[in-house]
Amino acid sequence: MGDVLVTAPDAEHGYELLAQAGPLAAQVGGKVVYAALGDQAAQAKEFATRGAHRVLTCSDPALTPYQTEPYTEAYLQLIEKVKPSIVLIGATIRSKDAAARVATKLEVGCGCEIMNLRLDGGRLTGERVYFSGRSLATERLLKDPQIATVPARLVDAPAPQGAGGSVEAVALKLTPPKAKIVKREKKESGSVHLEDADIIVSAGRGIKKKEDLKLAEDLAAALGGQVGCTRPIAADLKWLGDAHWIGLSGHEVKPKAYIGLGVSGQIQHVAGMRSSKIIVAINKDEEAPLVKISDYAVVDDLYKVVPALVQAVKKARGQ
Amino acid sequence: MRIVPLVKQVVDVDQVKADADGNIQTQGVPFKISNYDKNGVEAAVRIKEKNPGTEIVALATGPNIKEGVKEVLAMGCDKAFVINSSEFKGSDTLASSRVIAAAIQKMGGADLIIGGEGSLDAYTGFLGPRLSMRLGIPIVTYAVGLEVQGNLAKVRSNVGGILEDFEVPLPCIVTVSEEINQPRLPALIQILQAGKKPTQEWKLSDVGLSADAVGEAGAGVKILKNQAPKMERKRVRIKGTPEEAAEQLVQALRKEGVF
Ligand SMILES: Cc1cc2nc3c(=O)[nH]c(=O)nc-3n(C[C@H](O)[C@H](O)[C@H](O)COP(=O)(O)OP(=O)(O)OC[C@H]3O[C@@H](n4cnc5c(N)ncnc54)[C@H](O)[C@@H]3O)c2cc1C
Repeated sequence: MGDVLVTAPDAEHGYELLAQAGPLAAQVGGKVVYAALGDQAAQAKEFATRGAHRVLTCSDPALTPYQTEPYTEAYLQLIEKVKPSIVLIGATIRSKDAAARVATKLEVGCGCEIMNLRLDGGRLTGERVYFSGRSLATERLLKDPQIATVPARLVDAPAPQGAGGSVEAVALKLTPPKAKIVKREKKESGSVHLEDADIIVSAGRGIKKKEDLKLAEDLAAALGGQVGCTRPIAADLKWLGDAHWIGLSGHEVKPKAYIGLGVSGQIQHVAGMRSSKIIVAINKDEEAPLVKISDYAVVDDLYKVVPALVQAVKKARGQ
Repeated sequence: MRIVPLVKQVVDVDQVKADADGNIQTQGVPFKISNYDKNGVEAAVRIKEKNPGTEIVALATGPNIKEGVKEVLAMGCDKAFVINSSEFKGSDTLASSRVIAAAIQKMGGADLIIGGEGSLDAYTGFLGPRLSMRLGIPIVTYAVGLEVQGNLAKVRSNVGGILEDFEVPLPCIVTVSEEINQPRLPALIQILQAGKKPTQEWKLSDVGLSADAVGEAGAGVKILKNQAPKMERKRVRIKGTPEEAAEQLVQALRKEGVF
């Protein structure tokens, strides 16, 4: 018995977690408590109407931007106050650090980017990517509180409903972090938000020159989609920015259609796009792994197929 | 200054395969040093090059680590402590962080601990943060730049599109991404010399831990199974000239409701 404490560095991510927390709370016979920290305190009602029975807010300036040390303190104090049996934390690069630190202080396990959360044998259970994407491990949290970090975009955010739960401001005791941020700089990502794209045209090493990326851009433009890429295109050749990079170490996407142009489909890339609704491979090698995991494959030279495809799409869309 | 790179030997994930039931098999798969850990060793060696008098002491774990550690000794570590991971098999990061923290205390502490952003096998990225809590020192993860100036580590970290520059007082922990550097390939002479560098093997009892603090008994997470993900796809091969193929693909995408 106990409540489910939910929090995420990003509000949208938080709503998604509320959707997942509801059934868990019902099963353990507890309430869903959302912690709206930093900037989110101002939107407390949003969480209350999206499934939180109770929202705790704290707008202490030490909580913006997200830093590992103050958030470790905040989570520990919230756990102390709520005494939850389950804690779900929206997984980001930084929040995972804080979650692992909290779990260490409490001497319990910490689930890493757990999907398909459920109670199994009465314990929090779910899947996570393992062996660089070659496998999915089913993991179970053995100790209370059961803490798991949960990726974004696994489920849809619930729509607001009714008057919603209660909102209560809490005071947290936060000390200045030892690791000090002296500069914070947004890297240029332009208008690319791969996670929001319905259609992604992904460029791989089959594209021979930077200028030829135009093939991918033209196809994406004709389809109303965005351009993604494999790691070598972003990290080694730097033809495209990190915002385009799909995979284990890049962005995880699930568009309606993913179209790989000269993408071999190595497991680390596939880890970032395997949930795409439709996978299309255009690759001259029929043995390429992406061809084998595709819904539709054209085994041919992309330099011949893509221009024809751009024309066909334009024709079909009356452009 | 003493820098301790953390080095984990893992199964070569590129060689694991699923059996007929989809269960992942690791038996017989060769081991290798987790690649991000080599970025960590490289970062340590570069700091030493700029800060004479620095000592690099690798702390390495793995199933065949006495052999495996030679690779990082050849890269420029001065000596190594190794712990055979069969002693704490079944550990999650809750349990393994106990081992690493105890070993660091046993060796008299470190000014800078450097790890990889995650290990190739489990890739949680939790060990560094857990150690920081156990040792009571600050941490910066996902570093793409790392320098030491006096008593400060200057760390640049890439958090998905945002670059954060940190100043962190030593002692601290930094975990590094592979963009931080290109790990050096040691020359033959360095490989030969590596075998002569001091390497001490510790048992769990040497670092003051009992068996129930580690392994499944000490873990907070249990892996119930490890299976190859199922990919059920239509696998339609579209044939014909480029123009014919393009036309068919457009029809197919339309039928799927893509546009
Ligand atoms: C720890 C780790 C993490 C990684 N993370 C990522 C990640 O997040 N994302 C990622 O993408 N990769 C990642 N990688 C790298 C990954 O293993 C692959 O190396 C990479 O995805 C391959 O990129 P590619 O498909 O563009 O190139 P290649 O593997 O070189 O494939 C090129 C393909 O193009 C085809 N081709 C060539 N010419 C033509 C033509 N004219 N017409 C049609 N097809 C053609 C070839 O048949 C081939 O299949 C990671 C690797 C490691 C070790």
